[in-house]
This record gives sequence, C-alpha cells and structure tokens, in this order.
Amino acid sequence: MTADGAGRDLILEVRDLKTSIFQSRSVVQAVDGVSFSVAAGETLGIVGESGCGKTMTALSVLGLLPQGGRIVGGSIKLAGDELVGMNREELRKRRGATVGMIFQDPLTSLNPSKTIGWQIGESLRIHRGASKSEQRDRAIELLSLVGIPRPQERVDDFPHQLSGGMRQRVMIAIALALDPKLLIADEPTTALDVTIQAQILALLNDLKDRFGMGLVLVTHDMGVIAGQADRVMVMYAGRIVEEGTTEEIFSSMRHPYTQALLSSIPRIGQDRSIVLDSIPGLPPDLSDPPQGCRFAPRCRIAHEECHTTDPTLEPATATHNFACVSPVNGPRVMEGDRVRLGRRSQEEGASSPKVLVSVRDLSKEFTLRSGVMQRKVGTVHAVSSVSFDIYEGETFGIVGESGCGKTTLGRMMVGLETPSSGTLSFDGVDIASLDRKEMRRHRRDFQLMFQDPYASLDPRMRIGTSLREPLSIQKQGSTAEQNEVVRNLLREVGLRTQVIERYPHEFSGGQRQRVGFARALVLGPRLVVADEPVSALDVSIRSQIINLMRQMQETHNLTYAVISHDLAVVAYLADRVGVMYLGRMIEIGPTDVVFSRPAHPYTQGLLRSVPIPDPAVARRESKDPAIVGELPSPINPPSGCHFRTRCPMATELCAQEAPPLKLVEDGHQAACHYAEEVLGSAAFAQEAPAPNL
Amino acid sequence: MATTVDSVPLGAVEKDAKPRSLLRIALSTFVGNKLAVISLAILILIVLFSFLGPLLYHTNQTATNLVLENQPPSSAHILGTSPTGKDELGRLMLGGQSTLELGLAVGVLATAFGLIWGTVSGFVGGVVDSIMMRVVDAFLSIPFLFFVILLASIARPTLTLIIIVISAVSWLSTARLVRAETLSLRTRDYVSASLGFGAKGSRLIGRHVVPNVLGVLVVNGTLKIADAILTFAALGYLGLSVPPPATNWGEILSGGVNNIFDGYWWQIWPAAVLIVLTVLAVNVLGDALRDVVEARLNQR
Repeated sequence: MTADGAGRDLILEVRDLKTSIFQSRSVVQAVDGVSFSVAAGETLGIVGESGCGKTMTALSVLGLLPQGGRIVGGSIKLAGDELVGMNREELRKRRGATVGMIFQDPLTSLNPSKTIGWQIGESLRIHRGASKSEQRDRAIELLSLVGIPRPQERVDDFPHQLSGGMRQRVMIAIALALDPKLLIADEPTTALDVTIQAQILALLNDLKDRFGMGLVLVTHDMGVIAGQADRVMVMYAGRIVEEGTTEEIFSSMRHPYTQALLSSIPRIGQDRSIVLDSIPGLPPDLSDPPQGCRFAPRCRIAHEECHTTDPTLEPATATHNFACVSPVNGPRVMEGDRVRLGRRSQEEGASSPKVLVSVRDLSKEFTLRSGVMQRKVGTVHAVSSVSFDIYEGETFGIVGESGCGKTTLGRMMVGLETPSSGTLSFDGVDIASLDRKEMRRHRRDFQLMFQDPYASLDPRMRIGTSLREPLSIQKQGSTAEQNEVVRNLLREVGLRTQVIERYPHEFSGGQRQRVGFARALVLGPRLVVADEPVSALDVSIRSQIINLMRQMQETHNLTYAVISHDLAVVAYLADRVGVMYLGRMIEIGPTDVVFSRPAHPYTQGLLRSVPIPDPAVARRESKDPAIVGELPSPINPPSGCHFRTRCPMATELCAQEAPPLKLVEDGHQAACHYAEEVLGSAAFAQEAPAPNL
Repeated sequence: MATTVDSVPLGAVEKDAKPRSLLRIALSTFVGNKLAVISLAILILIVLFSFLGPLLYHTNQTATNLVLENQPPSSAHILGTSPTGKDELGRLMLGGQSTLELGLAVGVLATAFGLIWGTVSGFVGGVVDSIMMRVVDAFLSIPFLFFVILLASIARPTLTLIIIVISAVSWLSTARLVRAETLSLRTRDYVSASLGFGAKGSRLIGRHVVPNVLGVLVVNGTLKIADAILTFAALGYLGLSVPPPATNWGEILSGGVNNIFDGYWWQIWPAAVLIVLTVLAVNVLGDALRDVVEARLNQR
C-alpha cells in the first residue's frame, strides 16, 4: 500500500479509469479518464450535475455497474490490490470485505421481508461464515454504534417499522458490518429532512474518524460538501474538471464550471435583489461528446480556442488541479442584474397593503379507516388551527420538515382539498361558501405549481393541448385566441413556440418545469401556490426557475405562496415566511427577521441544521446536530407544544399548555412560551455568509 | 422583457431531436418483435381462410350425406369428410367464421362494459364503488359451466346468445383491472391540475383517465379474445353450442373424438391445430401489445 503526502495509507487509487455503457445503438462514455485517490481517515467529495459520471465512478469501484456497463480501461487499486482484470470470485471477496456502500434511498435498499438484524448479519454469514448468534451479537453492536436506541429490541424489527432516518442508520450499519476500509456514500442524505440529514452526516463523520476509514461522498449539495469533505473533485461530462482541497474549491476555484455551480445556489442571508447565476443548457450527450472543452457550449467565458482544444488537468497548487484554457480566479461576484423584490417588501410597505388570502383557524383532518366495515381507527391532524394573511404582490414562504402539513395547507389554498374547519377567504370571498359552479369560475384566480412537472402533465397529451386545457375548461376565447395566449406564455418562460407539438417526455427537467410554470399561469391567476417548485431539479437549473419565478412575479403581478423544505430557496424568494411544525404554524414574520433572529427553538434548530455552502462557516459551527430525534406521529401528537419532545428548552409548562402565536416584535409572531428568551439568546448567532460568495 | 433570465432556446445546446410520434415508436417496437409479426401473419391467414375460403372452395354444408361419411382425404374432399358426410375443409372454414366473430365480439363487448363499469366505480368511489364491486364479486361466484348448461336447457342457443353469455363472464376481470388503474390515475398530479383548472368529473374521466387506461385495456382485450375462443371451443365440444348446420371448431373436434379409434385423423388434427394456432397467435399478439404499451411509457 502506498501513502499520501501526509503519510497516511492510500486506500483507493484510481488511475485513468474509463467506464462505458454499451447500449443497443450507442456507447456512452460515462467515465472518461478519471484519476483520484482516497487516504485513510479522509473524506473525498465528488460533485457535479446529474449525468456527469459521479455515480458511475462510484459504481465502477464497487463493481455494481448497470447492465451493459463495463470498465474499458485504467486501474482501480483497493488497499493495494488491482481490481481491474481480477476474476469474479476473488473480486467479490475483496470488495465485500473492504468497501461499504450507502445508497440514496434506504427504503428500496432494504429487503422489506427480512428483519434488520438478518440483513446486517447477511454479509458476515457470506464473508466470514459467522454463526447465528455471532451475527446477532454483531448486529446489536452495530446498531448501537450507529445510534439506534434500544438495539436489542430493534434488531428484530422489519424495515417498515423504522423511520427514514433510522433506515439510513441501518444502511450504514450494514455497510460497516465487515469493518470496511472505505465507505462510499452516494447521495446519502438527499432523501432525508434537513434535521435528520445533519444527524446522519454527524454520524458518518464520527464513524470515519473513529475507524480511520476513507469516505467517498457523492452529492450535488454544495453545503454538505463544504461541511464534510477534506478534498473535492468536480466532475463534468465524465471527467474531472477541477480538484483540490475544500477551501481551494470554494474560495479560489479556477474552472468556470465550479464557479457557476457555486454562484447559482441561493444562500440564507444573501442580497435577495441580486439575480442568481445559472448555467444554460444541459450536460452533453456522452455517447457523442463535443470536441474541445466539454463545458465550452455552456460556458460564460468560452472563446474560440475552447471549442477546439481539449484542456488537460493542470496544477494550480500542489493540491489543486483544473482543466481549463481560460481559467477564472475565485468566486464570481454577481452584481449586474437585479430584480425588484416582491411589491410588499419592507421599503415600500408604507401604504397599508391589501390582504389577498386570509386564513383563520384552518384545520384539516384525515380519518384513517380500516377493515371491511371502514371502522375509524385514528385521525391524522395534517393542519391544525392555522391563521395567517398573505398580502397582494408578496411572496409568502412556508417551510417545515416533511409531514408538517405544508403541502396539505397549499392544496387547501387552491381548493384541491376542503378544510375540516376554519375559514379561508380569497380577496374577501369565503371559498367554502361558494357553490360548485361559482367555485369552478373562481379557480382561475389561484393555481398550483407542482413539484414534479412530469407528473402534472398528461403523458398522452401534446404540450399545446395541455397548455390550452385550462382555457377550454374555463371556456375562455376561441381556439385561435387560446393558441395566442399559449404561444405568448411559452415565449415568456423561455421556450420556443414550436414545442406545442411535443409530448412531455421529450423535454428536459428544466424545460418541463418551465412548461409546468406556464401552465399555472395560463388562466392569469392572482395567486400561485408553488409546492417545492425546484426540489426535483438539478442545481444549475434551479436558479433558472427561481429567476424566472421572480421575473414573472413582476410582469404578471403575481402573489406567491412558496412551499419548500429548502430554507435557502425560501430565504431567497420569500418576503415573509411561516414555519410549520406538525400541522401548526409556529413562527411567522419577515424572512430576513425570522432567519436572522428566530424566536422559536425549532426555527433556530432548523436554521442550524442547514448545511452552509462555505467551508469556513461550516467548519466553525459545531458538528453536533441541532435538533435530535425525529418528527412525532401526527396521529398521536405530543400534548401541549408539539415540539417539546425535541426541544432543548422544554419545561413542565410546555407539556401542559400549547403556546399560542404571539407578537414578539413588529410583524414577527412565534408560538413558544419562551419566545422572548429565544429571541434574546446570545448563544445563537446566525452567521450570514458573504452574500456574493 | 428584461433579460434577467437567460432563456434557453431549445436546440441551442441539446440536440434538437425530431419529435418521434408515439405511433412510430409503437410501430418500431412491434416490428422489432419477430414472433408478434409471425402471429399477426397467421391471424390474417386464418381470417382469409375462414371468410374468403368459402368463396373459392364451394361445399355443401347444409345437407347430411350419409353415403359420404368419414371419407379420407381425396381430390374431391381435400381434408376428407365428417361423420355426417360434410366436407371437412369447408366445415373448418364455417367454424372459423363463427369462432372469429365470437372472439372479436366478446373482446369488444367485455372490454367496453368493463371499461365503463371500472372507471365509474373507481372514479366515483365511496358507496357507489363498494356496491359496483360487490356486483362483480357476485357474478364471479357463479359457476360458469353450470350457468351455461342452465341457459342451454332454457333457451335454444344462438351465436348472439353465446356471445352475450361469454361476455357476461369476461367483463368482470376487466372491470376490476380498470378500477384499479383508475384509482391510481385519479390521484395523479395531472388529474389534480385539471381539477384545479375547474374541470368537471366527466372531463377528467374522458380526457385523462380513459386515454391512460387504454393501453392496458387493449392488451387485456386481446387476451380476452383468446379466452373467449377457447371457451367457445369447450362449449362446442360439450355440445352446448349453436345446433347444426352451424358449426365451430370445438364441435368438429367432438365429432372426430367419437371416431378416435378408427384413425380418422382428418376429423381431429386440423380443427385442433387451428384452435391452438389461433389462441397462441392472439396471446403472443397480446404480449407484444403489452411490450408496445410499456415501451411507449419507457420512452418517457
């Protein structure tokens, strides 16, 4: 085994790895000449857009390539042994015992019909021939290692009995069973909530240090990388375009791709009026990669030479390499383009604004029924007694973990769900009092923008028909007029009008979300409820859609309600924000106030859990997860304040009495008995990262 | 319009692939499956044989001619004669007509009725759904043969009656399938979206549910045809079919089986082969159609 500069053992050495996927008509060069190494106790982050070969690189090392995938060149040395060309049986033994893998979705990676103890013991049985009792003992040991409470009882549980966070811990336990030297985690926290993500990342980091493992972290989340990785490798179109220490990549990057990736992510506390950077277009088709620099067609500063010369990795410092003929120097300062903020931002709020949506004591309960007799077995309190106003022209953000009721609230606001109690009035009209016919007519005023535009478009309808559908339902205009409306909107959202002939599957993700957005605007609504508008999109495309939403708000005079679990997106888009926890609205206020001076311990913890895409800040913050435990069941919520089971400040009073929303300062409400103390606590100082980084 | 948002013209970066129509994708998938193409050819031949054959090959299929009974194949009777002295080849053609007519009719009837029943049940839900599905359960619990024998003892069977009887049993599984599909479709985002635009239930069913169920339905309908042909043959074999001079392949088979020890192979094999070929071809075609439907979904 060779050692790295610091004298640590190199666990993984990959040299000039080439992996191709052979398809019926073409060969995709998924990984094209990638070299890297991982030392013991080190975390290597691999970042890039989807389709850039990150996952294929990881799968090549693991030998888990999809059908048709083959390593066609290069070398992979695992703990000193060459894997390329090794026979299958030998390979199986070597890999199983040396590498552990953690996948994105813990639900589909676990076998639903076997206990978790059995699944942890499986590799021990295969590789070491361990007996039943040995397997069980080791499983219990591993479960306690990954922080599962009462492992002796839990070892006989089935996957469905565990929450998402717990399942991911079990996956980690399985990966650790054979004391691997290398752990490969492919988007390990993407499917998890931000509070759980913080817990899992802390666990991974702790395990890595304790056992001196190498960790390869594949992710698209720059915040996760900033907080976890020692070194970062940026991949584009199957190649490494830049690699270096985390500090180098984040603060003195040389490749325009790295620069654009970093300046396209919204951050909490940044100047909201500045337009986000974005990378136009899509990564190239790797069955026929372009000549010259592969990033050139999308590059902001590409010149002629870029389209003809293929740049190779060149050193900037001893640890920092990049592949670009016209490198940049450090982060891009975005200042030129500005958009006006939502009309009711504080500066202009002098004249009393008009309330567009007024929600009072709104509740929604779902009854759980079971058996032939449809007996009532429980009630899910999805939304309980929520009150707030949305002013005309503003953007109202709703944040919270999954299962907190934010989607149900959004669906009630557009009339797709009927409230169980309470009132919801739109422009002074109580929606519940309308009869069916009036309701149908009123629907044109409020529209929903869906998370997954693919699912919201009928796969068997051409885009033109789909876009015209709302107009023909509402019987607005002749066919020619309808087509004119559709064409104008398509142009406005940045699509060519010819696309009306296409089917949804013929679009890329970003284009589809543009179509989805256009569809929400066809009827000329006044309120658009956007449910996770960018969560399903790649980083580079997110900023395009966010910019577009901003721009359309101004030209179409829209009021937005943006629902998201991504605090940074809400922080950038919203003028005011409401934080939800287990069906209740626990804090409301202007976005910059709530995010810089939270008055509820939950908001505080949530903000501290968000990974900040700045290594300096991320390293300074303590690595302890800010919120422990998991979301309680909404069928049987805790008494008093719902958050008390996870709250560090909870007292007897919290268990007895549910705190009402009270005003803590101008326009800022919080539902906590100790809101004033939280607000005043000096312990919490949210560092706002430099806005233009 | 301010240029704050970089608009991404289609085709600037990604290749401007010509939109392939769904029909073209479907066709190329189908043609790629050799077995399916062969099956389709076989079916076309059987249809031509049954419906065009009698125009070229004239036989008397009404009069019983005991002088000519059980003749082996000869130049006058290419496939010999039946126990009642009718030309066997001509009888196969006649039997093919009723078999194919019945198969198609049952396929269409059962599918149409199952579609209506299933979508209404699945879309309306609640009490209506419960009642409609219990009706299906009740029908399914009637033993089929008993039902047919009972009917045959009451009424004189005609082809139309048999079509109705077989359809009455066939639509049940289709209705269940369509209901399950509808239940999953009505929670799709695009149905929600349409509802959010103010669409009525009838529009949602007509525009979004039915077109998306159609793929599965075509496959299911094809397989129903094969089932119906087999059932028809079984009924003919048991003598519960349309009385002579009408005939079908099952009935021909049953006549031949009476003479099985005399070695009159021409009374058994041709009918048997035709039944097997037809059912096999229809089934292969159904499988191929399923691939086509799924291929279309995979392209998305």
